[in-house]
Amino acid sequence: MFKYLFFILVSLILVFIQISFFGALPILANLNILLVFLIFINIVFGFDTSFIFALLIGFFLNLYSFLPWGTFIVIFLAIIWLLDSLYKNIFINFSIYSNLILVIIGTILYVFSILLAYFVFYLMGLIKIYILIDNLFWQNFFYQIILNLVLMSGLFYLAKLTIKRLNIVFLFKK
Amino acid sequence: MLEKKKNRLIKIYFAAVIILLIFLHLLKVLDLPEKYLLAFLTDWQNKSLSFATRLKYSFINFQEAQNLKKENTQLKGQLDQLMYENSQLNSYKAENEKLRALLNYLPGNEFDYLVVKIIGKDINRANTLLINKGAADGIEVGYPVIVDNGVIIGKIIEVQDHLAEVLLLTDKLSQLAISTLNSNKTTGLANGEYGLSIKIDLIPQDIEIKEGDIIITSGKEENIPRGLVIGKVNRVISAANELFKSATISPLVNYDELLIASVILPKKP
Repeated sequence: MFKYLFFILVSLILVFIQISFFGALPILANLNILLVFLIFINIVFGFDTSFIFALLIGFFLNLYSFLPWGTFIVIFLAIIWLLDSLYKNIFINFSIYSNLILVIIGTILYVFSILLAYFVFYLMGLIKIYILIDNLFWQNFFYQIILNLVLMSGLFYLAKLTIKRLNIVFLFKK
Repeated sequence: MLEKKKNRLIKIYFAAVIILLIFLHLLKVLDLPEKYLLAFLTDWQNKSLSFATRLKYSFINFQEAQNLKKENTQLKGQLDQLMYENSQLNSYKAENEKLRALLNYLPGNEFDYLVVKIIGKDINRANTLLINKGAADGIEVGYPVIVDNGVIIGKIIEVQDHLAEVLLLTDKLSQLAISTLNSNKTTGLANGEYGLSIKIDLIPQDIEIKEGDIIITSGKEENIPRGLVIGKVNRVISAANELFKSATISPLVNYDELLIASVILPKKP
């Protein structure tokens, strides 16, 4: 029970930090800690845990979004499900490099699903304004990929140092 | 095997709870808990935003301090430059007083102010701000948002019961009918440019506009009073054979530093 309360608290804090801390920082505003966290959890703790976090983070994020309720839950679940399949079937060598590729794929999937959601809901009249694909969009997209990769590398490094059982997962080339 | 079954059950249980919560939200049953949750988090979010802003500026200040060290040696022999800057400051002072006088004149009796706290930014959209008041407080899409000295920073684009989103004027999708202090008619249409500055297009050639002019709202848009200050012209682009000219404006406030703003609401009879 306490485990799940802890999950709820962690999800709420992460959404809080994403919206109200990183949002105020230049360039770092493009960092998607929620997505990186979900991918990290999926790789390290497995699909079941990341599934619960995707539900919770998606739910809390919807509190601060104007997209129809459930949009983020569906997007996050679809992304971690797809990444989990890729992880188990294609990128099976568990190296840091293949995991970074998963972050790139995850970020691309996230950005384009959000873009698609905005366009579809805008056409349906459920939201008032869409996202413009201009130079700024591509610039932010590029920053997001780079920053997500940096965060994921940092998380892996920290996890490798602190969680012993993960050493079989992280096969750093020496 | 048993562990797998248990995990599956937990997933189903969580999914069911979330789906139930979504339905309850749609049925407005969760209105009160959501209101209290958002209200509880608002102060913390505002503080977090303030901390992040201070952090950003302490870094910028540190960088600037390094640059200033170098510049200081050069500036020692350039007192005349400082005198010039001093005269500029005097002109800014006069301009500031003019703007303050303008603000006192502004929305008059037709409008009310609603002070709001800025609690964050939309995760998916640049050039936006999230504010802690929404439809329940009378905010509607299209209402202008200003900062304390009467400078408009954007318009409301999305509203929930206890939350609203502001699209800043520097966003490319933002549009605002503008005028100059000396003109009574609409001078052009202001659009954002890459989240950094504002561009005015469709300025008729016969309208006089020059660098340093103060640009204000024209008052021709619904719910947006005339006279809200948008910024100052820093460049005019004009070709003799074109029907219209254009100009770029620098906003008078730094949108990254905002923590409190006001939404202008039409006065209810």
